[in-house]
Amino acid sequence: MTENYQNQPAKKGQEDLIERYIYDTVRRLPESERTEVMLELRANIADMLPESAAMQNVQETLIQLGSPQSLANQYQPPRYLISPLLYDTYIQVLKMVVAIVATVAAVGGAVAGIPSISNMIGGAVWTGLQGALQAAFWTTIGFVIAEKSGYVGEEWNIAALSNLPKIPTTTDGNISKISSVVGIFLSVIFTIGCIYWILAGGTFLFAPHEFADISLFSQVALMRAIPFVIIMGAAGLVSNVVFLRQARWNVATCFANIVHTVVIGGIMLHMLYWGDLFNMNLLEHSLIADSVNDVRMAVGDFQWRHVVAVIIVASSLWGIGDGVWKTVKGVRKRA
Amino acid sequence: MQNTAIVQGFIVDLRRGTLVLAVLSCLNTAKYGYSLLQEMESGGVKIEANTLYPLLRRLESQGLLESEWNTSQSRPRKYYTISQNGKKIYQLLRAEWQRIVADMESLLNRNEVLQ
Repeated sequence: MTENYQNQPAKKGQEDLIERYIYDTVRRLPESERTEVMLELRANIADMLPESAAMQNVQETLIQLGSPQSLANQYQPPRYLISPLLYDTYIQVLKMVVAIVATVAAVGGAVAGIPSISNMIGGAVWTGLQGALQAAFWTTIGFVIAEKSGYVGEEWNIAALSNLPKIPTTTDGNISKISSVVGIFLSVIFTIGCIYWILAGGTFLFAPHEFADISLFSQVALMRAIPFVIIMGAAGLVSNVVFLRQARWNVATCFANIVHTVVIGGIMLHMLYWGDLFNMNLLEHSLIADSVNDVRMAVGDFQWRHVVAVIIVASSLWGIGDGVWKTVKGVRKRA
Repeated sequence: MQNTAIVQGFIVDLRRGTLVLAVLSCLNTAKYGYSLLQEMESGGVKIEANTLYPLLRRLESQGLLESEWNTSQSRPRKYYTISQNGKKIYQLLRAEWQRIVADMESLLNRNEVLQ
């Protein structure tokens, strides 16, 4: 037994390996269990090591304990369709497949809706949503089949030890400084870019040739939008400065997040219902439209705006809820 | 070779059922995970660390064990002892175990296949 294991500063590499093993185990457990199991595992592993342990002893001990997945399964017997053994991979694949399929489907839906703007937006939202649901369903079915057919994960040996995940530097309740700096940068770029684009005429950046010099939005609406763009940019800038200074979720950052989200969501909702938002001339350039009047009616039809409004409200609520949740979690953890 | 694997599987099954009883029997005095592992091994009961540590936690959540962190030593350790309810369950399990041993002995002696 190594009574002096923790008193050896030269054992940084060993400690790092042990911590990565513990992290990979506890991240598969319910959040309420993690801290306790982490402390217990750390003590138990230290007890299992011989005095003046070498890296080889650490590796042997971790191999003896079994893979993080199997150890986590011992703590929390699988009770789900997809066990912790496959859960992380499942979530990773699910995110990727849903994002790709939904994007491709949304683009397809938008293209199919040309030239009607309402059909393009409606088609993109509807087919994107259908694609996402289909992708999520079939990915889940695939993983349930893999689970039930006895997939057992990777072999657990010394080579696998080097593949243990790194412990993320952003822990619960902390806000990454990099993400705050990127947020500040993007707020400034977004504001300058938008204003430049509006003043340049608001034309399509990537569009078929016949639309190349035509704006999707009416110039009057775009000019009216400039103060709102500045307000949105300022809200992003201020909130990210608060994030950078505080560097963790607390009342100040939670409040900044709420103000930022409400300002952006509110402005987008306000602009969405502008009657002159779209450029009617664009529709008259369309070669496919049966009649310009039909298209004018389609754009004037406010149904699709309600769909987009619901998406804006839902994502704003999600953003606020996420911030509040992280604040409560962070404050509780620090208490 | 094939028989060895088959027998090994049965032995694992037999031992698995006795682990809770073995653990409870050792925890009249407070012990931390690794010390309990060593005591069980010295008593001939082989248990893997990755089985014992989660088992201790499970028994604690079921109210059979109580635990306390000892931070007075160089390294903090979690010590487990059997709870009052754990003692009652231990008595019942022990009585059942003795009954099983007696019944099995009787059955094996009556139908000795090697005779």
